[in-house]
Amino acid sequence: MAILETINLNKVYNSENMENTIISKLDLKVNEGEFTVIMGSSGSGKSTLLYLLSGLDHSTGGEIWFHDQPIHQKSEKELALLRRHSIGFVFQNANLVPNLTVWENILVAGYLNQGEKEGVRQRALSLLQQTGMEDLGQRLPSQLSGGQQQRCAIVRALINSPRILMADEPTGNLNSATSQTVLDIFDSFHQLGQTILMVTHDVKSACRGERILFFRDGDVADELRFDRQDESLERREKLLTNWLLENEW
Amino acid sequence: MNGKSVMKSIFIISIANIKRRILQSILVGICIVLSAMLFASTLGMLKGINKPFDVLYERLSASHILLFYDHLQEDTDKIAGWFLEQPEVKSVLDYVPYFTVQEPMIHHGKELDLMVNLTEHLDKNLEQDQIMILHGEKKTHPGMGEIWIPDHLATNHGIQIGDTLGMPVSSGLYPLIVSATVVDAQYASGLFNPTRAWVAPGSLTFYLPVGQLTRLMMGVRLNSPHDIPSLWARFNQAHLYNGQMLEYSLFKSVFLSFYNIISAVLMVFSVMAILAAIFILYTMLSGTIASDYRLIGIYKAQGFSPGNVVTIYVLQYLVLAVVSLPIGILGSLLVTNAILSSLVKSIGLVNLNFSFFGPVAITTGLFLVLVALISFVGSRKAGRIKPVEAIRSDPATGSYSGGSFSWLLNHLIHNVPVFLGLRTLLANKQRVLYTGFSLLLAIFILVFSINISHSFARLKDNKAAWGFEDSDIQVRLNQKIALPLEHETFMELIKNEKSVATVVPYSYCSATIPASQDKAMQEVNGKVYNGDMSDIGLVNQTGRHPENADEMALCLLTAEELGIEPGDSLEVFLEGQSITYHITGIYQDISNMGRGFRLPGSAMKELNPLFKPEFYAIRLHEGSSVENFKQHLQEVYAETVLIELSIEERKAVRSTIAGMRSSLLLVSLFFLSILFAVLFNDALMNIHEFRLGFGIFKTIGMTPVQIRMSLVYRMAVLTIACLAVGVPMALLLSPPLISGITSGIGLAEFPYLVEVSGTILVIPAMLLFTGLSVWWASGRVLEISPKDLVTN
Ligand SMILES: Nc1ncnc2c1ncn2[C@@H]1O[C@H](COP(=O)(O)OP(=O)(O)OP(=O)(O)O)[C@@H](O)[C@H]1O
Ligand SMILES: [Mg+2]
Repeated sequence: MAILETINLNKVYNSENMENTIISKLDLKVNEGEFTVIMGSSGSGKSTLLYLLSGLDHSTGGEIWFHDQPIHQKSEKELALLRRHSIGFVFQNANLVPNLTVWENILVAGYLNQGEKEGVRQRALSLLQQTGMEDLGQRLPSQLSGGQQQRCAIVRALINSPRILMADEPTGNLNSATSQTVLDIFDSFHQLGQTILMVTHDVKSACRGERILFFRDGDVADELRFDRQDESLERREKLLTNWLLENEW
Repeated sequence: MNGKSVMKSIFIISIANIKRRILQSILVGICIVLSAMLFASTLGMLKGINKPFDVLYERLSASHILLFYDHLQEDTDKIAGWFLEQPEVKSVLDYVPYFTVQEPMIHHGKELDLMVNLTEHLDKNLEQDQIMILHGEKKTHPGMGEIWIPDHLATNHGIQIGDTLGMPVSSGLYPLIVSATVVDAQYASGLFNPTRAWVAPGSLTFYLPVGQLTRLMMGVRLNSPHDIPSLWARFNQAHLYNGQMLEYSLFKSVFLSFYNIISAVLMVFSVMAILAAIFILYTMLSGTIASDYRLIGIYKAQGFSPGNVVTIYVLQYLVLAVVSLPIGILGSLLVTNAILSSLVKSIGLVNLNFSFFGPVAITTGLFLVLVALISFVGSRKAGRIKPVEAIRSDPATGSYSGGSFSWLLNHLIHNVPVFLGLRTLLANKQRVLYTGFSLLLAIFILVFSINISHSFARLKDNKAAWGFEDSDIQVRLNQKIALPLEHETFMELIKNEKSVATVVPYSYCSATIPASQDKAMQEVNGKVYNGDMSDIGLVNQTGRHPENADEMALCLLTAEELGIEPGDSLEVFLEGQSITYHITGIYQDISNMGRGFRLPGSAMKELNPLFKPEFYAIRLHEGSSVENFKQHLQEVYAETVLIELSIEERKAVRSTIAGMRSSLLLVSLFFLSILFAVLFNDALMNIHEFRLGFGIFKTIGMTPVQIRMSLVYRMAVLTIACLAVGVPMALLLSPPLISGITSGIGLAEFPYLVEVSGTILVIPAMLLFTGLSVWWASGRVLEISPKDLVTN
């Protein structure tokens, strides 16, 4: 079942009398429960696509359906509400509010959506435990490592049990060891049924997904889907690398 | 339920923002505290000021109209009877004998600076026109040989209970013992001359020859002071009254004159302060939003709606307002209470409670609405921020305007701190604008206060502009000695004194302006000059001095009230005759609250050939010493000549001027503290904006001192620019501004004197003040988080 669908989506930037088409006639489906990865070279429009899908930016044509809701027709306010309940966002930078503690950063996002304070606290606590952050709740972002900051950002994105978690190069700023822990967290939430849409150009990160879309010239140019037997990461990585070589990416 | 928890999120962020920018929050708070305090104090003053006088008037059952007349000319019973029949009249104090002591009374060998009406305190005074005893034995009446004097007279001259006052009589000084100091509703102000003192019932005949005791005073008490004009107009239609009349509104305006000026000045300044506060809050908020740019994008990505984002900032400012307002209002209550209770104490009122509910409610309401409005309008920008652009923006580069300034560094300036200072100055034009505005305002107020204060202080060198004779010394011939000097003889002698340049004799007289359709009859006090008025510096606002016997000049407010301009004519009663004068000029005079007239000596000669001037205004030659001349006068003329106290030596005038100057000082300090808050904020914002740049400069070896100096240089350049604009602007605009304030008390053209040295001193003082403020502010920041400069 598609949770997110675009039909004939277009995005054109008009800068200095130059029309710059970033996304053209894109038809895309993201299925519920899947871990979808979008790969593409730098500047190909991956971030732009995520911003469009989450309603942070406006398209210049086409339709975006979130479940049965037309994102392309919604007002600012409706989009804000939709993001609150249904979409979690993780950036390349953790983008935590610097003057709030980890705990507060998460609660603020939680209170924004839910009425019940105790429920938010419980969920925050369990998410912090799942990400190994339970001892760091009272720290300020500036007192955390990059990986810890990113884990906090993930918890913040998940606090409202969004129907989809979007991530834009979540490990782009991290070294490889730290990246793995963060990606493991994505994996574990996916195991629990979380729908994830992640943008990356890093092979190691992309392997975490079960479906990889290759983005080029404003459209999905190719698609790779791992089978059930492609369980181990090493195997997936090998497959993906070979595939990239074969298709001259 | 849902809405509540959203508010909770917003609240957490708002409070965190207040804490994160704690210094800036404190500055916003100070700004609100100070302007609310000034505003509430002004309202409190305006509201509270009328009450003491009216309460006093009520408690003492004081007469609204006082008639002073000669019992040989008027029929007391007829007048009293007429008033009693009128529906507006509550009661009539039919008559009280009084005597105007012709010479100043003497205390410890010194003359009092107010003339005195010695009035008998009768049993009727226990009903109407009661007297409140402040110090001394509380008796029904003064005893024989005793005198009750107004408390202000005692305070100003240091007169103690038990002291003796000498009343000049033909045989010398008659001693009266001060047995009480009192408050008397009509004469509660020391600015009223003559004032009134009380003696035992029936005692005047013991002190004075019966032939001189023809004067009576009658008091009329009304149900409401509003009825005075119509009642008085009717009275004049019914009677041909030749005596004098003084009434409630005159007593009140004299009593309140000083406080009214202060309130007017405060009002002007509180409006300025509120404007300054609006401006400062708005620009501070804009700066905050600019530096929160990226953060706001992140809030939005999390699902904050534009309205939620605006609420974050509105709430933040409202919380600050709610915390600061009580402090400001409390401060204003203290200030207002201090001022009003000094007023109340001086007239002996106790248990007088002022209700400040109105001012407090208005201030609270106004400021909450203002703060909400400012923060709402200011943060709408934040609501409109596009999340994608904000998120994509590099956190290190702010959103300030760029432009290439390297040419500055290449060609003009090789000193890095100076370059950085200029660079930061040019980088954020909006903030330069608002800091510059605050600087301008402070410079304006400073220059204004210095010069206005100076103009008051130099009253003595600029007397003519205030309406006083510009003489070096004023004397009077002693009539109480066996062989008084004749006017003509004295004129001969004094003119031949070698240090004397000019002598202009003058005297006081009072005229009655007959009632017209819409105006009651009016008693006006004027002066008659036997000589050229310009010789003693007197000037007119418009027109010229009166020279011929049928010419007259009018004081500003009298002319205004009568709707008269130079060239018009005016009918008055003078010396029992009705004469029509051509009005030749309009002048201003503060001494009589802007009311009065001037006549040439020839006019008086025609009415009364025996008229003799009382006073002599003497001007000495350039360079002659006034002190020496005084001594010379005393040696040569001994007791035949009495030297008058000059205007600036009068106690009441001196304390009024001192009060005026200290309130100007207070206001200047207030604006300097606002300026300090602005400078402080400005330095913080700068460091915040350029922290990465400063961090990099630090890593390449710039010392913290150099970084701070760059901010100091920046402020110095801005201060110099503002001084160049602000000082001339203040010099130009101060006279019309202050004249607007003082025109109500008869000074349409405020005697404005520029104090060159003080004005020039503003320049280094401002540079020093801004430099030190910025230095201190930047020091605080570098201390707090030196690491932050490098590590974002
Ligand atoms: N506001 C804008 N105006 C004009 N062009 C823009 C704007 N924002 C982005 N672009 C352009 O759109 C293109 C796509 O940008 P986008 O950030 O989506 O790329 P990306 O695939 O995320 O790249 P990267 O992997 O480097 O993050 C780029 O060429 C960029 O220059
Ligand atoms: Mg990107």
